[in-house]
Amino acid sequence: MENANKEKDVKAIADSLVQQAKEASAVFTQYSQQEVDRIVHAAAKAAANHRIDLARMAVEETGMGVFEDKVIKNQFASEYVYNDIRDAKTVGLIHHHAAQGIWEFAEPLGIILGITPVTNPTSTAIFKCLLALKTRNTIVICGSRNALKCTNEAARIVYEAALAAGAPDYVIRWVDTPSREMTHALMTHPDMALILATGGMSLVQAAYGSGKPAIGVGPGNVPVFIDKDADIDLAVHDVILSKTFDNGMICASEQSLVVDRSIRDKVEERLKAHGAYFLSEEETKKVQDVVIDPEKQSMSPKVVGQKPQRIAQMAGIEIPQDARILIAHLDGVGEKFPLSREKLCPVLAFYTANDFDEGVNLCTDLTHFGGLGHTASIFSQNPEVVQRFSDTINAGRIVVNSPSSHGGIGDIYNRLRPSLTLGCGAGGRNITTDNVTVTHLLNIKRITNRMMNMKWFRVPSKIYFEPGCLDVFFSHEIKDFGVRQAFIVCSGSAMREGTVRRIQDYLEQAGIHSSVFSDVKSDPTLETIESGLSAMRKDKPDLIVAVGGGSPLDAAKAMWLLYEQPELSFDDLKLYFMDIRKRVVKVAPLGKKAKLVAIPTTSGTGSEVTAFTVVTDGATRKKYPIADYAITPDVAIIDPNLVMSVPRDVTADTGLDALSHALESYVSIVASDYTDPLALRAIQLVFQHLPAAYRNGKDAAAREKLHNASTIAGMAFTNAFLGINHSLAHILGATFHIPHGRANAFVMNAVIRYNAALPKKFPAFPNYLYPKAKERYAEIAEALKLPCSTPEEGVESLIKAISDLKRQVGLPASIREAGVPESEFGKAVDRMAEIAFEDQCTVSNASYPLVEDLKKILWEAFG
Amino acid sequence: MVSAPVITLVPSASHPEVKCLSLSGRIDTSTVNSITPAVLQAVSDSPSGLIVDLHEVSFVSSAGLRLFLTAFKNAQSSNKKMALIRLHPEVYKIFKVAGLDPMLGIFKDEKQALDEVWRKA
Repeated sequence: MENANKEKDVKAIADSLVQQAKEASAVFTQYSQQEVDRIVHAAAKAAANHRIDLARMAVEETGMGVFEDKVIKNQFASEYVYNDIRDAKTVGLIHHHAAQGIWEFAEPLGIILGITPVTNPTSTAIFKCLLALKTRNTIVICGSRNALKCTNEAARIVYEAALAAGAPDYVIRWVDTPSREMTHALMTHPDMALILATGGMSLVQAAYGSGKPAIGVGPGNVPVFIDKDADIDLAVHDVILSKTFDNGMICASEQSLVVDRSIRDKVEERLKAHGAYFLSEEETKKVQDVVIDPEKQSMSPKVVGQKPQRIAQMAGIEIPQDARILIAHLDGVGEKFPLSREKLCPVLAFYTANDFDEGVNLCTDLTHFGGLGHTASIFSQNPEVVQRFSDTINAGRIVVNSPSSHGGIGDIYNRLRPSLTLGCGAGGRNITTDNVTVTHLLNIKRITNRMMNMKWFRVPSKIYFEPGCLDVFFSHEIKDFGVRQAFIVCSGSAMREGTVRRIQDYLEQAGIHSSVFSDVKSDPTLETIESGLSAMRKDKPDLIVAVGGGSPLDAAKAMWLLYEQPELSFDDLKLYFMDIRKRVVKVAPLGKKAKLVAIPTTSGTGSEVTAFTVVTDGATRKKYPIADYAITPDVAIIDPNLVMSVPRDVTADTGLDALSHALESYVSIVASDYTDPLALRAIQLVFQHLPAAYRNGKDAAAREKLHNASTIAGMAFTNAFLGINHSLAHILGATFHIPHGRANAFVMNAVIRYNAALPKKFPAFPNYLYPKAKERYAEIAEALKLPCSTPEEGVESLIKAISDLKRQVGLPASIREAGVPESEFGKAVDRMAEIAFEDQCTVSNASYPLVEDLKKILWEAFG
Repeated sequence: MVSAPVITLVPSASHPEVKCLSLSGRIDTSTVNSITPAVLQAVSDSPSGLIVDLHEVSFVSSAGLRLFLTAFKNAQSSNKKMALIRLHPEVYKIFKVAGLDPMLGIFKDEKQALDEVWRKA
């Protein structure tokens, strides 16, 4: 019955505290940075003013530590901490990352449960209250039972000063009747937002186990490595300063010295001179029995923060009255060596290491024996030694050439954030290794604007055109390139036409040796690339000249890439990507070994200006587009004299290929103001001149315009990319051996109809604001002066114009008309749709297609 | 180019019943097969156990850890002892983090290993 009543009382008190704090935290959310800063200033001032009486109260009440040092701790918690957080932005908009389009707003957490320890009661209470006030949180301070009066007095002083400066009522609360049950009730209270726990491991574990967000600390077992290069006077001074500070009660204080054998005697001598008392083996045994509870295998609370003389008295040994520290020589780490544990009192373990490796291994053992993730210390003047030590030791803070207590809490001896709650990371079962401060008590809301992806426009740095430019280039310009060995990649037909011989003659006149690889057939395979590559590796060219239709140009680009970067593999290169700038496989710029000059002898692929090459896997006949701006040729030579003898059917096919490039890049989601004029102009040129070039191959004017159209379309699509017209054409061509341009022509109208309809799935690209393919097709119709009173009419006019164009150049109207049997097509269609979906070109299509959609388009194109 | 571990095996000067095996280089999947027979043979050849000197070893992969565990189990099943000595901090840390240090017996040098493992026993 009594227990039930007690439980009820505890719950009622906890509820009341939390209810008050809840109101305060609601009100506090309205405060401005200015109001908050005024409150924190007043609170810090009050705490600093009371540093002396709070220190006295703490020593009297706890019977631990050193009054004068507790004064410093209070001063640290008010002055150093306040100085550190004074100018921090903690209200409203706290940061704007302009380049990232991100605004960060601070949101308070609500109610914080601040659990404070008996070792640093008043300073920790001041510290946590100031952090809470600065972040517009309310805090319920739950002090140690053995330090209740002084803890609550510290909280009261800060609270009243805050209140007087305008803080909401109840912004700081404290527990007057502490108990395990009360702590549990507060930790698990539904309205508690965060537990900020400083204390023993069991308390911190309870906080983490409460189901509430918690920031806790772990136990330390700080090793100090004194390297043979250390400044011994400095090391001994700092260790004594730190270990005697408040009788060793800071968890970052030194626990074991690990000293290089070569300097051991000197270190011992200096320690003795500073008042260290080295225990005999017998004394060590007696001291360890009182310092470490043999049953619990942990530090005995009765020695925490006691003077050496008091500890000696408890152990029943005699030590000098002026002894400041007790030191025990130990040989090992672990349960057999109780003093290798943490001891928050002026008792140190002392190890001798034969060398650096042995010393670091001992420090590793010590941190693994109850201090993982906390703090470690090293004295050495050798930066390499410090770095190797730090690389190995798992500690949230590694303090170099400084006292570890003062170094660990930050700001006095270094620029760590000043804090009385030191995170110990995963090693100490904590969430952070940071020195906890205001940033840990805020939720950051990130407001992120829609950001447009950077776009680009990249084409070869030199594009030569007009009839005869090939001759001018090789008779004059080539001399400026400073090359010695040329490697010509071409097809058999370029050899027969005599173009290659002509280029070789020019090169010879310019003093440039040349060799020829003419074994490139249509749809170059990986095997072709590899055989060209091995010839290239033998000849070691500094100039590659690609002459021919799309195939030799594509082959030369792939060879060039692998010639320059032999470590790349085809598997890497064909890896699918969503964004060319974020792809997994990066290609460094080419050109270290050779430059590439591309000379098209058909008017269609645009390969002479693009960042793409298509390589066919000989085994599966699957085509892999490889894309990277690195493979953009250095020079493109667009000489219409080279296309005068292109056969009629090739003229028709390649003309439709150029048209499909321009159409797709105009409606691509990556299209831009830079590519649109090129795409439109290429479309106009194809419509105006393809029929004439087809009818009369000797029509030089039509040939020239068509040749330009192909390159201009290439410049558009190398920057705006393509779409599913090409995805479908790639697999359609591969499956039924249909020339690439013709395959594109077959699916063109069906793709336009599909893209012009409202997409069922939208492609994800920030720069593409909403579907507009229909309107874009209508713009093309308008540019071609086709009937276009509505977008719908424009789309239909364009489709009709394409059908007319195909008819004029003798292309079948459908796949069926081209002679593909329906049964064969039906067997292949599922696979074709799936492969087209995976095709690299699909990613920039105006509509993100389902495999089913692609199947329907294929059937529509079949006719 | 991975250098293959070099192995030397000598009896302990002060305790000839125990053999001392020195390894060097990286102990990983590409090298472990080449040293496994020698390590296991050394365990079975040594009358009362094996000390493995890792002073020249710069890296131990999981295949390396497994080799030491196998050697340790072989030693244990024939009533022999085993110890690892002179580990660099980086290698020592692997055994600590993997929690294998209490089982395998890791010591700073041959003398300490002999004192702790063989003389005390």
